[in-house]
Amino acid sequence: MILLPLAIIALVGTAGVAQHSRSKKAADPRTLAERMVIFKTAIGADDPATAIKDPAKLRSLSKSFRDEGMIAEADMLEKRAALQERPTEVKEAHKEAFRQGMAATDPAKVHDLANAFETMGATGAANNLRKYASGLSEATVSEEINDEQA
Amino acid sequence: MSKREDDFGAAAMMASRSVTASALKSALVTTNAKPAIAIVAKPAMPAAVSTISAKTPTAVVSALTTKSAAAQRAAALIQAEPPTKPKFDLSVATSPIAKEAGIAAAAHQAASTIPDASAQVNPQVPAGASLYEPPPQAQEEQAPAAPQESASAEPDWTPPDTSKALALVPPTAAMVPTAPTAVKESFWSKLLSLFGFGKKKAPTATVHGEGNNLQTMTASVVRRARNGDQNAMALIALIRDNAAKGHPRAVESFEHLKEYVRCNPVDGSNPRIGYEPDYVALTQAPGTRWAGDALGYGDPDYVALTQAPGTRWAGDSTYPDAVALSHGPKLTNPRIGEFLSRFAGEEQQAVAFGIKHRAHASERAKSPKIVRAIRMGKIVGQARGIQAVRERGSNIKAFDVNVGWELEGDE
Repeated sequence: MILLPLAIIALVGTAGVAQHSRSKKAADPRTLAERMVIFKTAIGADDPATAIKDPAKLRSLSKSFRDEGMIAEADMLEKRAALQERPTEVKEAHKEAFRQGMAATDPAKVHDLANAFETMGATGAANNLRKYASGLSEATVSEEINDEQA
Repeated sequence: MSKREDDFGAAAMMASRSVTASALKSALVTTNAKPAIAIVAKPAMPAAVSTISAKTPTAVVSALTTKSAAAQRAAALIQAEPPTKPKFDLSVATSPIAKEAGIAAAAHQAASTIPDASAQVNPQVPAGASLYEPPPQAQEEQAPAAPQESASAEPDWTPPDTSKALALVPPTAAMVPTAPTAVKESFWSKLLSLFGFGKKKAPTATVHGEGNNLQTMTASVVRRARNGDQNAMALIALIRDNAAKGHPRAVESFEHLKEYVRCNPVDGSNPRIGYEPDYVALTQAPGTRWAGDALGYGDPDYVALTQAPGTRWAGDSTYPDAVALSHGPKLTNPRIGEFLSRFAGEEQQAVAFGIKHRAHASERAKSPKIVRAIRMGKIVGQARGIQAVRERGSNIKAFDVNVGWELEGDE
C-alpha cells in the first residue's frame, strides 16, 4: 500500500524530467538556424574576416554551444581555440603541408589533406584545399574534352 | 616569389603605365613560352566553342533562373502546342441574350488593337548586340514585342471568338463594352452612394499602361512569362487552375491564352530562358577572337586566358581556369604587365581591377567585353595567389586571412 503512491510519484517525476530534457534538446528550427549562422561566422566559413581569433572567446562560445546540445560545433570551436597552442615546429609542418596541397595535381589526395585539416579545426585551410581540388578536377575535365575534340 | 612580386597592387599600377615598345619586347623575350595549360597549346577555336556549350547545360541555366513549381508548370503550359477542342458549339447558343452578346463581342474585337511586333524591331541592332537586357518589366515597357517571337508571326494572331464564352455568361458591364456615355446620376443614387449602397464602378486595371482589353493583356502576359517574369507565369497558372474549376472569366481568359500561344509559338532555333546571356553570340563576338588572331596564337598564356571557359560566360566559375593557369609559368610582375599592355582603355582598367580584387571583384558591368576583362583579371589574380602561396616563406595571410591565422597564428 505504501509502495503505490511512491511508484506514482516516481513515474510522474521521471516523465517530467524526460519531457524537460526533450524540450531542451529539440530546439526551434529558427533558433537552430540562428545558431548555425553564429557558428559559421565564428569560424569564418563565408567571410574569413569575420572569424573569431581570440581563443578565450572561442572557448566561451564553445561552452555555450555545448550547453545547448550542439556538441559537434562546440568541439570544432574548441579545436580552433587549441590551434594557437601548437608548437612552432608543428605549425611549420602544417604550413608546409598546406603549400604542398596547393601545388598537388591529384584531387583525391588534396581532399584527404583537406579532411585532415578539418579534423584538427583548420576549416579555412580545408575549404581552400577543397576549392582547389574541385578546380583541379574541373580543369582536368575540360582539358580532356578539348583533347577529344581536337 | 618575393613580397614585391606578391604585391597585387603593383599589377594594377601597371595598367595605368604606358608600356613602351621596347618594354613589351623585353617582356615577350623574358616570358616562358611553355604552354600554361593543355587547352592552350591547341589553337582549335571550334573545339573551345563546343566545350562552352558542353559546360553550360540547360540545368545550369535553369538553376540560375530559379523558378517556383507553379511558375514551371505555367511555363510548360505556355509551351503546350495542341489547341484544345472547343467545348461548346456556337450554333447551340440560340438564346437572345447569347446572340446579343456575340454581336457585342465581335464589335469589341474589331475595335481592339493588337500590338504590331514588326514596328518594334530595330534593324540597326545586330544579333547579340544587347546581351544583357533590362528586366522583363522594363523590357515590357520599352518594347512590347517579345524577342523570341518572329516579327511576322504577330500579325497572324486572330483573337478567339469571345462570344463562345460570353454566350454562356450573362454579359456584365465589365465584359460587354459599351460606348462611354455620360450617365447622369439621380439624386437618390447619389444619396445612396454616400452611404455605400450605390453601384460600384468597374475596375479599370491596366497592364503596364497597355490598356485593359483582353487580347492585349493576354499577349502581354504571355510575352512577359516567356521573358522569365515569374509574376506573369504565376498569373497564368492561377488562370489555368481557376479555369479547371470552371470559373467563367478564367475559362474565357484561358482560351485566349491558349489561342495566343498556339498562334505565336516560341522560336525553337534560339531558345532563351530568363536572363541567360546569349553565350553563342558572345563566343562569336569579335572581341573573343581578335586576341588570339592578332597574335597568331603565339603566346599560349594569352590565348589560354582569352579562350578560357571562365572568361566566356558569366555563369562559369573562374577558379578552375585559375587552377589550370597556376600550373603554368610563373606569373611575375613583368609578365602580368606585359599581359595588361595588350589591352587598352576601359578593358585594361577592368583587367587590372580583376587582378587586384581577385576574390571579390564584382562582375556587374554593362558591356560583355568589360565583364570578360574583369573575369580574365580575376583568373590571373587567383592563379597568381595560388602560385604565391606555394612559395616557401610566403605570407599565407596575404592569400587568405583565416588560413593565415589557422596555420601561422597571431605572429
